[in-house]
Amino acid sequence: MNRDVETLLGAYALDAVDDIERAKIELFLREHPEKQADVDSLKATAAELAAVDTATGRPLDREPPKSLRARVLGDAAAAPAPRSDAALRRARERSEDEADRSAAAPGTGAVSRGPAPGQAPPVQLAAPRARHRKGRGRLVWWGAGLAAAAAIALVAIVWSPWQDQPLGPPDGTQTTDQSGQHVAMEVMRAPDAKSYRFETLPATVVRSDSMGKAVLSVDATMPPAPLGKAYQIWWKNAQGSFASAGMMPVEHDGPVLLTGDAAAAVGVGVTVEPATGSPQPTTPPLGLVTLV
Amino acid sequence: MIGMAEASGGVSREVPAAPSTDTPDLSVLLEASSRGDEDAFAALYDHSSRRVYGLILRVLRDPSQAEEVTQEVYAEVWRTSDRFDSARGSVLAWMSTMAHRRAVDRVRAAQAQTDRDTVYHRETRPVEHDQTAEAAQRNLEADRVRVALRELTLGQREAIELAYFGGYTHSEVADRLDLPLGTAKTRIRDGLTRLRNTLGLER
Repeated sequence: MNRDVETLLGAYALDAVDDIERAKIELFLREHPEKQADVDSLKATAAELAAVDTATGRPLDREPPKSLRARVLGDAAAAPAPRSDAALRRARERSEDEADRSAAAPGTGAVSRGPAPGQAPPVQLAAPRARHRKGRGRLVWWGAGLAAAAAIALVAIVWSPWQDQPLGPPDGTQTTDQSGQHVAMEVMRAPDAKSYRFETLPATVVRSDSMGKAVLSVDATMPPAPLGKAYQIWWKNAQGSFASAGMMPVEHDGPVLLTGDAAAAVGVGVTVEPATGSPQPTTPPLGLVTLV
Repeated sequence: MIGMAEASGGVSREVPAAPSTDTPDLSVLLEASSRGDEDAFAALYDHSSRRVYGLILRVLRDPSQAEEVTQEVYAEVWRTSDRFDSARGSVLAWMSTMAHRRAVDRVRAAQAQTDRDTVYHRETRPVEHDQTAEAAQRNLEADRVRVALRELTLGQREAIELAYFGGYTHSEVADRLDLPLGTAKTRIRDGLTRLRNTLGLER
């Protein structure tokens, strides 16, 4: 099994794996953090290939259309940079909001059994990445109360190489605990796992009929939900109605175990909802897949 | 820059040395971008967009889609500019990784995968008559990779090209090359490892 996964690391570095293989590899990397440097160097090698058109031997670089520059800079002007004063202020406000909300009541449909709201203090979650890495594989170092938060952090690291970062503040409605992640991985590894890719979202639903469970695996390229909002996941049943399958965690790189009966569902949808979730969808789905 | 990485043991003599004149330090521009410096971001765009767009175009082979995806990549770069870790590679490699992943996602989402190659080679041209220092560096870099690619077996090279530029999974590569399942995976792994060693990128 491990040798099999190790052979796959080359294909993984070239993005030449399917979603299920990617999940296996990322689980493997979580269990074998010493392999991460190997993967990083293979990815760096892959990036070198971008220098040359192997078919012609000439540089691959192309001048993009002039009009693109203005649009790219326009996008940047419209969104706060992550370390800008505005972004730091917003993050602070959001953290205060969520602390308030956590103190009040948990929202609807947690994705899986999570730790009690506020159990992992923001100060720990905001620790520099170096500390997450140091803690990898040594959860005891964090203390039992932080194990769940650390699990999320570890998943964020392996699922999004080069993009891992301190997690946002904890939120009772949007946490995934270690056992939830574990079950999610089991679903992805189930022999009868079938995957369904969204056409309109960088995400995939993987369902195992034998386990009666499904997960949503979201690519790192999924844009964050608008400020104050969150993505909510829905089951579509045979009658065409929707039932909540949970909220997507803020840091949504990695598989999310969906709550509820996966076997009965005929589809899965994703909508934007208030951060606390809605009993029924209030916006049109951004994506909908049919499960067969 | 990865191109600046020192070549180490076992490197073929043929591989030209990486150029010593570097463009502005992209990591400095990225760092300034993360604090909201739009001029720095514009400079980052100017010094990286040919690579990012060129790679995306090579995978997608459709200029208008490549333009869209390039715009998405820069939005992601801006949004995640505080997450870059120089210990794990160069800024250009980081951006290329992002660009490649997005391009591959797009290509796999697209239904028709046929004949894009023809369109690509007919409709796009390399940056022509570009005499700048950056162009010289690009040529050197391309030479370096091209020479390193010669160290691979034909089978390894073919599998890597299909996977990286075609956006195919290793299973699809095996299928297209009529190889037993697992063989493409091994060729990719062995070829990429050899390429890494030739380019001196081992960690």
